[in-house]
Amino acid sequence: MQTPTNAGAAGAQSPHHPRDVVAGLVNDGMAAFVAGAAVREAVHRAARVRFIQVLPVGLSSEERAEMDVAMFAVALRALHRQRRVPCTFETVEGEAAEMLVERSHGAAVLVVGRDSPDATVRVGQYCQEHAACDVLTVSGPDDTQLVPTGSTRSAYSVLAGDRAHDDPDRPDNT
Amino acid sequence: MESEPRESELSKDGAPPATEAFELDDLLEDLRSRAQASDRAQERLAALLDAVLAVSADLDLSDVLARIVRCACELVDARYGALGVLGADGEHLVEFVAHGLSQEEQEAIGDPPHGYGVLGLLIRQPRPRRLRDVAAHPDSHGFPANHPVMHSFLGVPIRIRDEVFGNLYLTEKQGDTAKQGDADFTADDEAILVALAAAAGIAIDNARLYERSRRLRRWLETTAEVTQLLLEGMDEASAMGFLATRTRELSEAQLAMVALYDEVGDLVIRAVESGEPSGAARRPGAVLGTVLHKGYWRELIAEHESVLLLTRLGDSTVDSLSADVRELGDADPHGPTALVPITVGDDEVGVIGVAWAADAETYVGNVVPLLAALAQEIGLTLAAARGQQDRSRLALLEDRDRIARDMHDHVIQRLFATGLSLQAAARMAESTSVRRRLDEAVDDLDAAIKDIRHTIFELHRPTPFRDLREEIVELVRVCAKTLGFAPSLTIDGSLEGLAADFEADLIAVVREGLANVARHAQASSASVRVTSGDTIQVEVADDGVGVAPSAVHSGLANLRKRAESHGGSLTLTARTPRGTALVWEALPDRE
Repeated sequence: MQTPTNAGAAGAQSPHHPRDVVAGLVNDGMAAFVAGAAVREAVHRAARVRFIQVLPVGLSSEERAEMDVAMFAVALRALHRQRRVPCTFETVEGEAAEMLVERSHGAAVLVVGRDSPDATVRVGQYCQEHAACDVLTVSGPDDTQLVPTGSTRSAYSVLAGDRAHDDPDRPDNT
Repeated sequence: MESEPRESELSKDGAPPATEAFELDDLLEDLRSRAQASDRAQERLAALLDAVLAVSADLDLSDVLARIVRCACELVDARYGALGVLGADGEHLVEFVAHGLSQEEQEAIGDPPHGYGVLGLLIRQPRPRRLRDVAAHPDSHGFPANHPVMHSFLGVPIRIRDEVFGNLYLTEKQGDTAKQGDADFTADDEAILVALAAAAGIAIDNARLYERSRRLRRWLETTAEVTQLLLEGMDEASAMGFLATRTRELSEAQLAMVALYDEVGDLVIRAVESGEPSGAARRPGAVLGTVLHKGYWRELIAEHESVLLLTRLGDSTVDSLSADVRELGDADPHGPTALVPITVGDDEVGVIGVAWAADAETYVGNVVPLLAALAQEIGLTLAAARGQQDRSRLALLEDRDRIARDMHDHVIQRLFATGLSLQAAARMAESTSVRRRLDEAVDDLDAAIKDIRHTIFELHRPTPFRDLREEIVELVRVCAKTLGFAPSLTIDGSLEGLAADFEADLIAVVREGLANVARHAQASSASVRVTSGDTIQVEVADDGVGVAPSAVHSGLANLRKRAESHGGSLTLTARTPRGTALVWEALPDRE
C-alpha cells in the first residue's frame, strides 16, 4: 500500500532501523557512566549501541589490547541483563573529540563524559558544538545533560517532559 | 499535544430525514427500509462472528495474520487490505501482510512500507481513522511507482494487552454505487472493524504464545538430549558437535560454535556448525582445536554476560569479535552475532557463539534469552558429566589402592611366611634332593614376592592418567581435521583392564576406520561407537558414497586379522540410504 524511499539514510542506517546510540569512551574516568547512559538510551529507542573507544596514538600493541579489554568489560557491565540490546565494539586511535564527531555521523545521539571545569581537552564541549546528532553529556549515574539538535527523542528528554519532535528530514510517503 | 482530527469525519447514521407529515406510503417505505437495515445489521453481525471464528481457527501466526486481513476486507467490502506489524521500537512496521494485490503487483511496487505518511499517523496516534481520500490527507506523501490509486481509507489499531501490535489498513470501499471505488467507509464499517481488531488481537496473542511454547519445548528437548548423550558416555567433543548442530537449527542461524576451556586453561573451539562452505570460507572442521586468544573472550565469560553484537553493511569499522565468529564458517560478513557464556556458578566453562544472516535482525532478540538458558543448562550438564568421569576415575584408583594394600598386607605376608617355613624345613631335611627342591621353592616364592611388589609399585605409581578412553577421544578429535568435520564418538561400557596388545588393536581399528572414511567415503558425517561387554565392538559409520569394489582392501585385511586373532570378526555393510558401516568385534584379552 505504500513504499518508503531510502533517501536520507546515513551510512549503515536504514529507514526502518532506529538510528544508533554512540557511547564515546575516552580515558576520562567516566566510561562506566557513559556506557550505562548509552545503554539506557538504546533500550529506550530500541536502537543499537556502538561503543567507540578512542585511544591516543602511539600506544604499544600490549597497551592497546589491555585498554580494549578494559573498555569491553565496562561495556559488558553496562549491558548487564540487557541481552536484547544489539551493540558493536570499536576502537579507534586519534584525537578523541574529532574522532567521536566523525564516527557519530548518522547516529541519533552521542553520549560522552562531561568536561570537568579544569579540563584542558574539552571533548564534551567540542562534541556539543560540532556533532550532527544530539549530544548527551554524563558526569555521574544520574547526572546527565542533553544538548539536542531537535532530531530525536531521548530517554532523558522524555523524563524531563521535553517532548521530542519528529525528524523533519525523514523520508515519508503514503 | 494531539490536535483535532483533520480528516473529514463522515455522518454516523443513515436515518431518514424527519418530515412533518407522513403519508402512508412514506411510512411503509420507512418501515421497509428499517427492516432492511435490521436484516443488514444481522447479516453483518453474523459475518463478524464468522470472521472471529475464522481468525481464531488456526494457531500458525502467519496464517492468522493473513486470515485477519482477508476477513477484514470481506467484512467491510474493501478491495485492498493490509496488516502492518510494529517493530520493537513501536515506530516502524517490520512486517506487512497485504491482501488484494497479486504477487506480481507487490513485487512491482518494491519494498513494503515501514510506517510513514498516513500509515504512520495510526502509529503515532493509535485510534480508528476514516478518510474519504487518502491522497488528499496532509500527511500523505503520495503513492510509489506501480502502486494502484486508492481513495477511501479505514485504519484500526490492533492491541494485545494494551500494547499496539500493529494496524489494519483497508482501502477502496466496494459500495453499491455503480462507480467502483467511489464509496466511503461508514461508521458501521468502523465499528465492525474495531470489533474484529479486538478479536484479532486475542487470536494473534494465542498464536504467539503457542509458537513461543513450541519453540521453548524444542529448546528444552535439545538440553535433555545433550544431557543424555554426555551422561551416557559420549565424549565432550561429539556432544558439543551435536549441541552446535541443534543450536544452529533452533536459532535458525547460519553458524553456531562452542568453545570450552581445556585442562590447561586455553579456550579451545570444540565444535563449529555452519552450512556448506562457499568461496574462501573455511570448512568448519578445519578450525576445531583453535585456541581463542583474545582477551575479549575471557572477559565475556568472566562477566557471565551474554552479548548481542550487530554489524551492518556500511558500518565504518568492523567489530572484530563478531568477525572472529562469523569467519569460522560460511556466514554473512554482517548481521547479528550472539555470544553466550557457559558457566556454572563461579566456574567458567566456555562460550556458545551464534551468527545469523544479515536480514535476521528483528528475529534474534527473542532467541538470545533462550540461548542463555540453554548455555546455563549445558554448563550444569558438563559439570555433571565431568563429575561422573572423575568419580569413575576415583573409584578405579581406590580399587587399585585396595588391591595393592591387600596384596601387600595379606598375599606377600603369607608368601613370606611360607618361604620362611620352607627354609626351616630345608634345614631339617636330610635328603640333598629334598633340600634342593625346597630351596628352589623358596627362590620361586622370592621371585613371586618381587613380582607382586613390582605390581604394587605400578599400581601406586602416579602416572599421568591417560587411559584407553582418552586415547580414543584424542584420536577422534585429531581425525576431525583430516575429515573436515567432527565425528561423533560414543563409548559404552568400561575399557579398563584390557591387555596392552588388545588396546593397540582397538586404537588401530578406530584409526583405520576413520582414515578409510577420509580417503574414500566423501562423507559429511561419521560416527564411532565402542561398546564393551562380553565382547568389544567398534563401529565406524559414515554417510558417504560407500566402498568401491576396486578399492585396495589391505587395511581392512589387517583389521580382519586383528579381529580373528582375538576370536572375532570384521564386517563391512552398506547403510541406508547411503554410507558404510565397519563393525569390528573381538573377545577382549584382559590383564
